[in-house]
Amino acid sequence: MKRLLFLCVLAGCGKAPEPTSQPTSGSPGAPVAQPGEWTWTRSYADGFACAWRSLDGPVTMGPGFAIEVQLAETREGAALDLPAEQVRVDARMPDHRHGMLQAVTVTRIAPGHYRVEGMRLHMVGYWEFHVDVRRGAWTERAAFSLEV
Amino acid sequence: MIAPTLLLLASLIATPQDSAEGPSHLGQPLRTQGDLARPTAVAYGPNGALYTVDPDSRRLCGFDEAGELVLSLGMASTVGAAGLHVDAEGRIYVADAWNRAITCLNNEGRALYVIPPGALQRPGGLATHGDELFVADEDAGLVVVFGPDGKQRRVLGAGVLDSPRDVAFDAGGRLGVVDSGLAAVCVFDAEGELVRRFGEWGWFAGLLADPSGIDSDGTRWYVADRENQRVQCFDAEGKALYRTGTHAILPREGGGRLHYPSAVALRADGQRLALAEPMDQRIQIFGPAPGAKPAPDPTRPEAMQPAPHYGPSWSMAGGYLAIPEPESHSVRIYDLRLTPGDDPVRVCELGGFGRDPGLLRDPAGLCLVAGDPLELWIADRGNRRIAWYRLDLSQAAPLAQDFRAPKLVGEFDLVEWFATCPDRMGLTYVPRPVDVQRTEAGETLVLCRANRAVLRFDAKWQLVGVWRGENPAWIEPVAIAWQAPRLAVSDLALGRVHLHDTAAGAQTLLGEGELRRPMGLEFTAAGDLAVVDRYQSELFVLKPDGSVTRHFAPGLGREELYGPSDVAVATDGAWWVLDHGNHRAMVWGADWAWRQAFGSKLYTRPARKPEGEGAKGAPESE
Repeated sequence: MKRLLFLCVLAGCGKAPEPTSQPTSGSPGAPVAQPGEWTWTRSYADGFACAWRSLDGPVTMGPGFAIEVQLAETREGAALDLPAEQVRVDARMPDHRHGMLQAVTVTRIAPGHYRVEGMRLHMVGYWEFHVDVRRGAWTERAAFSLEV
Repeated sequence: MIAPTLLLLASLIATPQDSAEGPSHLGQPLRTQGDLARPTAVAYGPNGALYTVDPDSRRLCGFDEAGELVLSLGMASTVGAAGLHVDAEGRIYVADAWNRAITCLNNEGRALYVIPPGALQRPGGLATHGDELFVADEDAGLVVVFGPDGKQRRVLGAGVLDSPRDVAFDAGGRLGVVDSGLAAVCVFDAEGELVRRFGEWGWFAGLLADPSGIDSDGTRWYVADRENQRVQCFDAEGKALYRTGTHAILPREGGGRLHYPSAVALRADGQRLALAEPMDQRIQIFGPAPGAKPAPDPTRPEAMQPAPHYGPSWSMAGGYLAIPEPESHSVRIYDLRLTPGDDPVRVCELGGFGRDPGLLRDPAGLCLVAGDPLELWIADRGNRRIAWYRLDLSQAAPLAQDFRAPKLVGEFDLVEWFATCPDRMGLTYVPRPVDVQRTEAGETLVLCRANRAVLRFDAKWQLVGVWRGENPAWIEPVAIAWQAPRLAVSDLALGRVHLHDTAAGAQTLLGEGELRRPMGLEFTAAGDLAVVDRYQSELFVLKPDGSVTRHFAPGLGREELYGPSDVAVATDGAWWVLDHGNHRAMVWGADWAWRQAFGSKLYTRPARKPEGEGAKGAPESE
């Protein structure tokens, strides 16, 4: 089994960015996230804040794992509480132009909190977690970058 | 290198397989019916005659077995014939997608009745069974059934179908519906219940990519698999039996090589298969061939071919060019900093076929917006939504590929919006976006085919206005260009460009008597309007004073185009033409001096040759 190489990198990590007309960015090369620690970002269109954490310890290539996703208006603000059907989570490798080999399930576990099961990263390399939030006709994406 | 040579020779000799068995499948190319401009549909009559509709040459034609013309009827230039059927009594049914009507003719071409606009949104393929007429309605996502009096009786496929293109019956009275949006065939029983669905998107055997035609020999289904460049034969259970045709590699290559086969027809005796290829202006006819299945051709990959198929639209801004790649349903981003002199460099791509966020089903129109960040807006006709991407690319950074650069900011779902919108401003149908533009004020302009209108959305996706064509109304608007406060709309059916001064509220018509089938268009810095004409294979420059200049001619050479579909004007005044039918892009300087061609080697080579060295001659093989 490959040794854990887990980097979590994200835009606006540590503070919610000021409202802007420009989407915030995600870029690699950031501190290593500790298991269980929340990692925050803003959606690209700046419509919501989003965080995730692993529920199964360190994320590695191979084994399946679950994560928890948190949605809020701002990091310290009110929860963005939506039905699970309006929250979609996926992981993709943009360098290779593919995603995971399996679908995930999203379950609402508390206001603005969602348990995502069935995640599995089957290759070593750069991955992006996508959290797509649908409100009405508009679907907006927040993304996290990972290196496993 | 003897082995590959022998392999190639063996494949040429043994395709289709020689066999002691008699003919068992339809795979032998017999002849090509040419002298057509854009045959969009085919049908066999009970007498064995082959019929086709050709909206660009404005004809309905019939041919006998030898290819001799036995019927020729004129059609109005505004008839967008998209479906054709001949019933057992020889009555001819023509579906007019642009005018949303059906015409039934007798075998001499006299109109028996017309189903007028109102019941259908975008009629395509048709079939009869008993005394009923079944029509695939792509934009409504239904099959609509009419009685012999032309009155609507019922609909099929609600909640099942997405974008049905064609229909056919088997001997058991089951209705096969080919659905390009689902990339599948849905089979309904006589009661209209779905009994089977087969196929999904892909390019391996049994999968489909933009299937658009279907017919039956009674027991088997034949599906025109457009983007896989083949016809697939399925048994009644949906099992793929064999394929007919392989992808044409050489320009206009025939003899069983196919190029976007869009419609298919089986003769009543099951001994002839006709395939319409609108882009290559022809119908190929196949007959019985020996062997259980055509031998795989090692020189022709089954998978997606590597040559670029560009378009049919593109967008240029900020030193970048965005082009859809039809087979993969992705959008490729090219860096232009090495041009002229070298080819554009593909730096990233996005999309791919699908419904999930970030995927595309039919990227019909693009709008690249220069700035920091660079933005790309996509009108996804298949998913009926607008996708907004941020591209983390910079001309100041070293030239490099970066497939992490595209970031999906969000998507606006026009189906959901239409269902919940409190004020639709008179829009009748669920929008089907075909082009998109962004204004300096942050509005998003969406050209909607279904409603024949431009929808104006503000930054919060509130509908703030609707622009429609006036005197006459638009029929088949296909592309828009924006240069504040002017909006230009090209109408494929009317053969004109509407210029709408949105500040003054005045509309004028451009290109009357000059344009036939205008496609993509763009304003120049001087305020002129460049527009390409698919039918005439020319670039037109329309000036505000009403004067028109015309450039280029049909062909493969340096000053030639073949079914161009879009145009861009670079900041240095260079003319960039998306030469869709030639799978290439052509570039001329502001002084009209030829600069370069890029794309498929086989198609760019004739243009790269210096003048006088066969630039207009037949293309060479690799």
